[in-house]
Amino acid sequence: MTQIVVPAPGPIAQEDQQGAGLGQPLLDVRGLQVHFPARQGGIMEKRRVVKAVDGVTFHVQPGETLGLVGESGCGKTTTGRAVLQLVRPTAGQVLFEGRDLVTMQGEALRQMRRRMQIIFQDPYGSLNPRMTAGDIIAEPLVVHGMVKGRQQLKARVDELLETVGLSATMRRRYVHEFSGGQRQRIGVARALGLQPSLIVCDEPVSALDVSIQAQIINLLEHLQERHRIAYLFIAHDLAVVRHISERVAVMYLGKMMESADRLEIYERPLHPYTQALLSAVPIPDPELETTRERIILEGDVPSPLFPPPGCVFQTRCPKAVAQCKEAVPAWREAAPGHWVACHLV
Amino acid sequence: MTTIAAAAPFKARTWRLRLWKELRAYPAIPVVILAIVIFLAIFGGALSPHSPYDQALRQRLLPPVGMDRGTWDHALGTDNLGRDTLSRMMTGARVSLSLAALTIAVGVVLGTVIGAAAGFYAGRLWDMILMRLADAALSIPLVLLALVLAVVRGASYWNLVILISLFIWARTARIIRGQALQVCQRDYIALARVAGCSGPSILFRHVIPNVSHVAIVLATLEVGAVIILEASLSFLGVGVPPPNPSWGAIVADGRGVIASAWWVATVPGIAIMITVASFNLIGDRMRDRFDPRLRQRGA
Repeated sequence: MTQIVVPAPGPIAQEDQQGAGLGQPLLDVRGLQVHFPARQGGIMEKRRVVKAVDGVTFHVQPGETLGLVGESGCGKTTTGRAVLQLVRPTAGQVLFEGRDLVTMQGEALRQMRRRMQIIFQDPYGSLNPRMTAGDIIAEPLVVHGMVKGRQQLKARVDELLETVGLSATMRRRYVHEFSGGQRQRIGVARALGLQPSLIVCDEPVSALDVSIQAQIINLLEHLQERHRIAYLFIAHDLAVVRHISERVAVMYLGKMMESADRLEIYERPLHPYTQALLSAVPIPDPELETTRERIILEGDVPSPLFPPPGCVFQTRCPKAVAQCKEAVPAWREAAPGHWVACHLV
Repeated sequence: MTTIAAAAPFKARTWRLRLWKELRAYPAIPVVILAIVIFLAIFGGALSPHSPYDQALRQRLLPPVGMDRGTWDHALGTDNLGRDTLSRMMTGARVSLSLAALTIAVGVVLGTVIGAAAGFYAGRLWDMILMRLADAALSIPLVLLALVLAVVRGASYWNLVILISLFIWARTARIIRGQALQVCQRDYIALARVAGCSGPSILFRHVIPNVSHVAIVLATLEVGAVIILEASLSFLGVGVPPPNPSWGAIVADGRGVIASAWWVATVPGIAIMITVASFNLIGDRMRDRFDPRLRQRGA
């Protein structure tokens, strides 16, 4: 592994470290809603909305990893994009370092985004095919005036390339000349350049081979240790999330189901949906594996256009009772640090 | 170190190799024809055996060589005023091709920028304004406008440039907008926003470079259309004013005598056909090569 160069922490990074002791979260998302208008049906029909994200609350502490899991289509990607205001939330607050991004515009938002970056799932679509690796990594540095002069820029780009385990000679290559894992490393290097305190990782490894996945995960963990970066790690692979996350949040159909510390949620899942999800993970021990009880959910995820009344999970929940069809369960703390939205807990 | 030393002489040749490889990807006959036509457009005026303007009434309506009365002196025959058709076509190639090059350069560049901007600001006011402008430009009857311009300003080369550019930019903008809409969905556009790039810088650094391959293909495919358009307008007498030769104007000259001397209109007609077909064949091949979907399957 090449030598890691630690960039000097900016004044805000030091603030974070003090803030961590006081328990002020780096990112605090409250009641986040993202609704998309759905155009369908006749003109007489009531205008419907897709509730992609419907009242999601979570927070991320400085330097920690929050794993956000859920089936595809549950709104986890939209949540990640809404945090960065790439999708504008319909309602709710996104407090980053205590300031609400939802109401921010233009230059103020630009300055805040400097401290928060994103890595996308698809390493093919997330890098401009007309730019070289060096240009891609240099762009945010130039835009924010982080470096002065060509010489310094080149040095910084080379340093970033080496930080993510690529060689400085790859600077001049175009995106199509790299493998999937290498492209993802370029994405990481680009995100790293602005020295963010939060990186939203939107399924950063699900498009990669398993062996490459491990490399990228290790790289992310390594960088977190070095630079004290917090991750909002969005994934559907529970094994990966278990490995990398300190805390885990579970989403279903645009709503938060449960969130707790990693051990707590994997050992004592409270929500029936979490229990079903976890029962689907194979145990890498053949003897234990035979004793594993699988909870198989019936039916499909309902359309977010027509979410069921009451608890959104009631249509597939093996434990549903009459109350679940009537009232939306509150998001409450069932045990210290263990939040859940279920009537039965 | 040895590998680098060995690679050096190869590198010196590499651009020629690349050009050769690129050329070989295109159909040979159209490439050769285009090379000849472009050569004539540049040097034709100087090389032509006769003056394209000199009349020789005693030698009018001579047929091309190989026919009765045909001579090598007037290899492609003469027109109604005894002007040498070959000389007029060689000079006219410059008019036809320079007009095509100019209008397409203006039209496609303008259309690409406008189309990409409309796609980038999709659904917003700018998109609406730009696209309605394009619709308006495309709904003007070209021939009518050409007639009006010819009456008001007098027939001229520059009328045609304005007119055809107006037409080309609108067609290009529409197609490029669709392409830009797709590109704007890509994650690298979102990443550029997160990186703090301004709207115009995303447009010029990320959107336009990624729609430019479509613009190149469009430009090639439009050459044929422009040559025919110029020929039609000149034929109608609202294009390049006489006695300047353009291929369309020569066809128009031959129209009156087509019953007695068919070759006067036919020879430049065939030249137009061959040239347009060559451009279209090359354009088709370029589309195949630059079409992103096909390219991904290959790589």
